[in-house]
Amino acid sequence: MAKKKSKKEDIRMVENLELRSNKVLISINPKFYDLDVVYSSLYNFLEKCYCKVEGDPNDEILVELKPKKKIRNLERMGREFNNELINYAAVKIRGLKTEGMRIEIVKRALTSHQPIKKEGTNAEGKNIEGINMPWKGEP
Amino acid sequence: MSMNTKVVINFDTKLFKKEHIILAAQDYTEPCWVLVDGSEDSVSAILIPKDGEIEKEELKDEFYNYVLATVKNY
Repeated sequence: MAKKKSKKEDIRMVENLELRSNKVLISINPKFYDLDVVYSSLYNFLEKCYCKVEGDPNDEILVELKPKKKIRNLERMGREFNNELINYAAVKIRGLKTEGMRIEIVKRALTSHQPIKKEGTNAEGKNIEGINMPWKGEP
Repeated sequence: MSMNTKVVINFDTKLFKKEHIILAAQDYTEPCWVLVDGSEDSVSAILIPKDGEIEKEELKDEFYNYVLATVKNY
């Protein structure tokens, strides 16, 4: 019986990218990039790729991008992902820096809303003695 | 993709915060492919111009300056 030759897949390493024939694996340092940054970056690739996330959040995260349609330049796609990591990491940094300010703005916006007070009534619209008076219009 | 103009810049975390380098790197994601990674002791930024027309040393110096400006402004 003839033995089947196993086709050895060409694997090329470029920085944190493992380039295979039909997909790219991206190695990410979870101590440098938070998991939510990784997921945010991945979101933009969901439409054009089948994506996987594997690994250990304490050691190394592996993101696999497998294009839905065959593309020539997998390295470019891996590098686009690296660029997205930086973009979302920067968004998070800016968000953290302005968090206090944003909370304060929302607090002020909510506390500055006061109900309209009618003459002779308290804040709830009842007359001052606390008795709701029915409206008596002229015939 | 030109690999000849790959620039690697290392930053000591005693002198530079990771946040400064990432913020600076964000503005370079348009003209370059960028990878930033590091540890407690150092952060490395790898930049590769997308069109390969930028001088290697000039890119390195410009990015370093940009990080310094980010340190000042952030």
